[in-house]
Amino acid sequence: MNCRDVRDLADSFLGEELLTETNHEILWHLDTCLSCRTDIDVRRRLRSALRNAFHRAPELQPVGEFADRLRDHLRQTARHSHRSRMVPGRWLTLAASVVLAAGVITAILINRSPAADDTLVRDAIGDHRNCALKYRLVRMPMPLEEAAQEFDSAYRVLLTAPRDDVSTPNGPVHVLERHSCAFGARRFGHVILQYRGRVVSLLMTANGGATGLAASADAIPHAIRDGLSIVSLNSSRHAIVLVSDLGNAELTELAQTVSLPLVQRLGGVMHNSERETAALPFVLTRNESRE
Amino acid sequence: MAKQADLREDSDGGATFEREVLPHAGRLFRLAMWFERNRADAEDVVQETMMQALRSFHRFQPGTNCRAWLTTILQRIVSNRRRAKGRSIVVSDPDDRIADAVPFVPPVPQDLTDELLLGSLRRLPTVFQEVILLCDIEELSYKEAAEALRIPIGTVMSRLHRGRAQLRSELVAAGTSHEGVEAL
Repeated sequence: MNCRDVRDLADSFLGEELLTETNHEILWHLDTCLSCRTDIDVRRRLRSALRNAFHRAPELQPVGEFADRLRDHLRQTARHSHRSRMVPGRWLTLAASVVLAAGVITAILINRSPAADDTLVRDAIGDHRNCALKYRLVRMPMPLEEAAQEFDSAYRVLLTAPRDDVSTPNGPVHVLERHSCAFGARRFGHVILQYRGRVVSLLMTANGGATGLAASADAIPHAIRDGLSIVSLNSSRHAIVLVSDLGNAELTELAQTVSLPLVQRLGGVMHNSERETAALPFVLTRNESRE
Repeated sequence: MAKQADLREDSDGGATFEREVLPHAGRLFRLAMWFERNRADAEDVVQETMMQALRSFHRFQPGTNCRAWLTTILQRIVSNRRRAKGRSIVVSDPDDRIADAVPFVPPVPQDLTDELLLGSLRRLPTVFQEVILLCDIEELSYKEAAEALRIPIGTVMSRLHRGRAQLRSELVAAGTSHEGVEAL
């Protein structure tokens, strides 16, 4: 890679949009090229200065009461919409909708959508290969705490669970890394484990009711794919998937040991969250949100 | 009993919306303010963004980038308002036309002030401002920016390349007339 190539890719390099191999080529070039190092540094400083200037520009800041006004407006709209939905003439329609929805949900739970299930398994395998094994994700992993603040507070559970070292009848499990990463359109909380000399990915993702997996704390083994075993556990809101080249039975056993406490803690997170949110007056019906 | 369960579900959904979405209001406002240049219009845009987000919150997938999702909604509202006001920036292939105006990338001045930076950004064509705001300031990925702007990912990349180069040219031009600015 020459100076011209590096200059062409410099901004994508800084934006972490390049493949790991290309990043390495640029880093090798920068080791020996003062001119390109200076150029990259200037671009980095420019981006950072621009971002800071934008976020602290006084003329772009909202006035203090804007957030309060916005929240009040949203709550009023949601309440009004909720009340109008509750007029007597609509009770029959609502009852019919509930019966229909219950039927559809039951059908989904009985049949389990193989397509959604397959998507989750495919993403989990992709993340395991590209993050845990080859470290070539398009977007760089981020700390779990940051991901918990930005995306889903449940990722915080993975900061301490599973523990750094876990003993199992077949040998110790050691945590190599904890972070959040994205593969395709799906974000994961990712704990990379070492077990019997193999790398195992423990991936947690929000299922949003769309994984097609029945809610169950039991480890469910899936068909081996591309030489990798996959085992999943599903809470009401999150799926936990283990991927490794261990045997299916071995991985299922491991999943029961390391994931069960995690599922229990996830249950705790959800109950706490439900208790917190139930106390808030904001009202929004699930049906309204689908209009 | 069923009603209680329903209300509990409602309350949870609403609180989830507040928890996920409202923390981004400040960032959304800054973006809206940049494009609208008017506080009342910017507040309208953010409010409309939030209302659309509320209506389509069922489409938001927990665990994905909420800020990118909201920015996409806001960007489309701004774009629609711009078109309604008859100041559409959609022209036939602006990239090719503007490409000739960026012959080289000069060195950027040191000691950049906020005014110099934002003034230079403001002088860029809007199509360049948009990608720089989304990718460099809001830190959206190329893919997320492409979805927000409804343009191909390759166009995002080429506009970014040209926009950043033109921004550096603007900074040099502004810097030479700015006392105390020293070229690298």
